[in-house]
Amino acid sequence: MRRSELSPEVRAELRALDAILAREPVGEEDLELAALVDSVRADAPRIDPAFADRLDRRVAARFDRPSAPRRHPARKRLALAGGSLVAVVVTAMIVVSGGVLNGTSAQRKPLNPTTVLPGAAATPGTFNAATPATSTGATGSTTAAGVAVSPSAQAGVGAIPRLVARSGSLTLAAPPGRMQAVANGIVASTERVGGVVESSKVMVHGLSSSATFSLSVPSPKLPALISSLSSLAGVRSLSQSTLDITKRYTQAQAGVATEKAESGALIKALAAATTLAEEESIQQKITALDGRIAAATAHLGALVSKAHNARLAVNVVTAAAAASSGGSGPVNRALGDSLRVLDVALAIALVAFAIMLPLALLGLAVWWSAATLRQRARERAFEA
Amino acid sequence: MTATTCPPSGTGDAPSGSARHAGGAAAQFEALYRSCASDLYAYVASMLRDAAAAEDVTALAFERAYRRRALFDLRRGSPRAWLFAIARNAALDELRRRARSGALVGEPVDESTRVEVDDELGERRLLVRAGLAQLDAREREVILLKFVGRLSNGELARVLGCSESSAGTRLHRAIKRLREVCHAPQ
Repeated sequence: MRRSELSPEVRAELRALDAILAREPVGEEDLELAALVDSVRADAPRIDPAFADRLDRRVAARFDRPSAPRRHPARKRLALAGGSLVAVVVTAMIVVSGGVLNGTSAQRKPLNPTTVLPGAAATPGTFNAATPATSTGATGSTTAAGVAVSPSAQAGVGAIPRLVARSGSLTLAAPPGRMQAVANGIVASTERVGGVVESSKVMVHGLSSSATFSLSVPSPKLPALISSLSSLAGVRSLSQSTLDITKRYTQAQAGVATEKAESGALIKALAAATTLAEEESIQQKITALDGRIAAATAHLGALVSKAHNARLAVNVVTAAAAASSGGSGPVNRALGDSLRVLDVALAIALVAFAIMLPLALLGLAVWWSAATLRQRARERAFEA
Repeated sequence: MTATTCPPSGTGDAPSGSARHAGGAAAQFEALYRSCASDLYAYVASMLRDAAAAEDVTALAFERAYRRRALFDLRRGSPRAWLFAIARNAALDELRRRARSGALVGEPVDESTRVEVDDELGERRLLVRAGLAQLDAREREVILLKFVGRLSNGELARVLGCSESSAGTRLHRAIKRLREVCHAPQ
């Protein structure tokens, strides 16, 4: 509602009132109002001179209160600092637990290939099928199948060894001119750690050069191989995974045992056979059973081999940008690190903003509500 | 007593610059104090009807205004309106405190306002005083803010927390009611 919406009568009276208070001359029709104003003003309490002097002094001293210092400014600052610290810690925890940093640091994984990446099921104490077998010791014992078992695995699963198959995928970015050299390096590195190149495909054709390798390497040597390959070219991505094949192994083992027992029973039955037809029938069963036992044994061997040898798929792509900027020199690495730091800082700032914004809005709403309620409570004093 | 009355804000020597500028803030506050002290005390004392409490509230209002002077924003109203709003809140807090504690405070026996009823002027003052006492507390307040505090209509609206037209309407009604009770047969 604007001032112009006031009725003319009200507007006229307000104008006259302002004129009276400003000691301006008013018309005869407003003399009664002027008298009313004078009466109210004349009857208003006068300030006591002694109080006026005291107030003058306090104003001159800028309300300095040596006996009653300001309300714990240090404590207020401390509370502010504490609140900020808590906010920062909460933010950092959310950032870390939310995986913001994980996404960035994943690029650094090649530098430390033993680190378990997201998605990998391996846990400390988990049996590493390719761990050099020892008869006994602190790290584990060896089964008849030559499979190492960790103490924790033994405790947790009883006498059943734990078999874990490991695999990984690595993508390298090599300058176009170095594709062949990188491919040769991959082969050499694999052989150096006792692994084999199961398959490979190298295509050298300028910027569209590429190479793919399927490597099999003793599981304990996988981290060393990844580390070695990482030094050949820039790492674009790395993923590692583990798969527990213990159950499959024990099931296969149990199946073989059952079939062998059945075979033994059949041999006894063959010895006790009295007719030719009976002998032939049993012989056929034994032959079929032997085939199944051979297949199951081969499967067992494959499982053990799978646990012993890790598979690594390596893709090599060209990195034109890396080549043009001078490859992976210290300046580029520093630049990359700086960008990563900025990236993380931005991520933290974003998360902090996302946390602080609703908190600030909530605080604003609470403050506004409290102020409104307080003012309403004050207004109720008129009704008391 | 060095405080004096002056024309309502905007026309007098009240600070005109933003109180955010720390350099001139103290001087501006000093000018505000000089221009408002008497009117502010008169308003607060009329509200509270207790001289001692009025002194406390007046001093508290000035102290709060001084300590919060950096928060004052000229765009949201004049310094005078801001000061009266602080004093009003402090006075209402005092009234609430009294209501909670059940304190009984009578009319102040103020020698300075003692009225001689010999003349017509004195009779009229007594009549108006009685009329004011009969008004609703909100009506009485709006009259005190205008007549004693000498706030402009915009300042009045700012202090009361309503629109300017609403403040004008409230003031008009309060004056009308005061006239009615003053002219009513005693």
